[in-house]
Amino acid sequence: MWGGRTGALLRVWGLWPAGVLGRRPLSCNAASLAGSNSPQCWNCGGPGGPMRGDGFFCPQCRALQPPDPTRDYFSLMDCNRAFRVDTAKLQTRYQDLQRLVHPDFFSQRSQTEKDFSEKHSTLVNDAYKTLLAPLSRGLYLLKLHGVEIPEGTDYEMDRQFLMEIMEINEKLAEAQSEAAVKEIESVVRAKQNELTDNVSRAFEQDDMEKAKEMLTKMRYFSNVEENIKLKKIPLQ
Amino acid sequence: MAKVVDHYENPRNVGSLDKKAKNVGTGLVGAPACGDVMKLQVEVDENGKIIDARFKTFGCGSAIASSSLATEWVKGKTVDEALKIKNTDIAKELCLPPVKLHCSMLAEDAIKAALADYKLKQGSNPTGPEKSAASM
Repeated sequence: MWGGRTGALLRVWGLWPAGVLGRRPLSCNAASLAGSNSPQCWNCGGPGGPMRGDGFFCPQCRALQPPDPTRDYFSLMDCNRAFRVDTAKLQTRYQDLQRLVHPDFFSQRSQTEKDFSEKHSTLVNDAYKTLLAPLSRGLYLLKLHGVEIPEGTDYEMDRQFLMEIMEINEKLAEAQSEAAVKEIESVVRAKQNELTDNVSRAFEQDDMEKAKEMLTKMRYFSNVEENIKLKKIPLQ
Repeated sequence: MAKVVDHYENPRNVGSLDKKAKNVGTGLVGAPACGDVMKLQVEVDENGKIIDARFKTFGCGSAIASSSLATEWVKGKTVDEALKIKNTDIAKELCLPPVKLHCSMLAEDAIKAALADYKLKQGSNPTGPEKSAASM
């Protein structure tokens, strides 16, 4: 009875063989499901499934549907697929979405919905975190354009830049005062701001190679920023 | 695992050599995917033997351990022997997991870069330092 495409759908959604189908009335008809071509609500068989757009709930029975795996972070967070984002708007969107899907709001619902809400909430967290910071946002945008930074030794980075990174790291390691650390911090922040502008311009000009080069430099400076954070701890 | 931790917590040969010295070769390499930077220096005597090595690495524990081990291994070797050090040997010695293999590759590349810099400083004479001293 649950073989074929329907069985496959239920297996993907983790509902079968051991799944629980919820406490809502089950009005689906196996025969009608078996021949259908569009995704259906796991609960009532109505027009549901991983929803396009912001329809996280089945319009018929209001059951939470699984996340749409084809939706990228920009779409999920209602941002244009571009490097520049309105971070205030991003934060509002994050809060609005969590109010809809956070597991806290599903404590009384079925296990299936609890599981879906956890998946939704995690996705929203990942999307927010990725899009908030310029480096991760830029790398994600590069990935969407099919460009990734390769593993392994950097044979393309100019020696002068690597020396600069090495010297800043050495200076930071040797810094004895809070003031010295703060000075390095402001130098690095200025560099990051400049690189962020360069990345933005590169994406606007659709120059993926330039964006990749700038983002790679940002990555090295980002490690310095992490080291600055670590350095600050005992000085406080 | 213990070896990586040991080389990370007690790295050998951290520091710098005089990069202006004629018999010092400096290699500087980076890994863009993780943003690690590694500097490895070698001091070579008149017989082409590496008598000292130092490193400075800013990055993950595996990168630090790999470069620490690299400086230990190059000491006492000739330039040509040191060029034969492979990242797979470093990774095996440190039991690096697959995801950290590129750290050992970075160390191998740092050794090669340091030796290439040394050779460049000796002039275009390909037969080694003892001959170039005579040609000067």
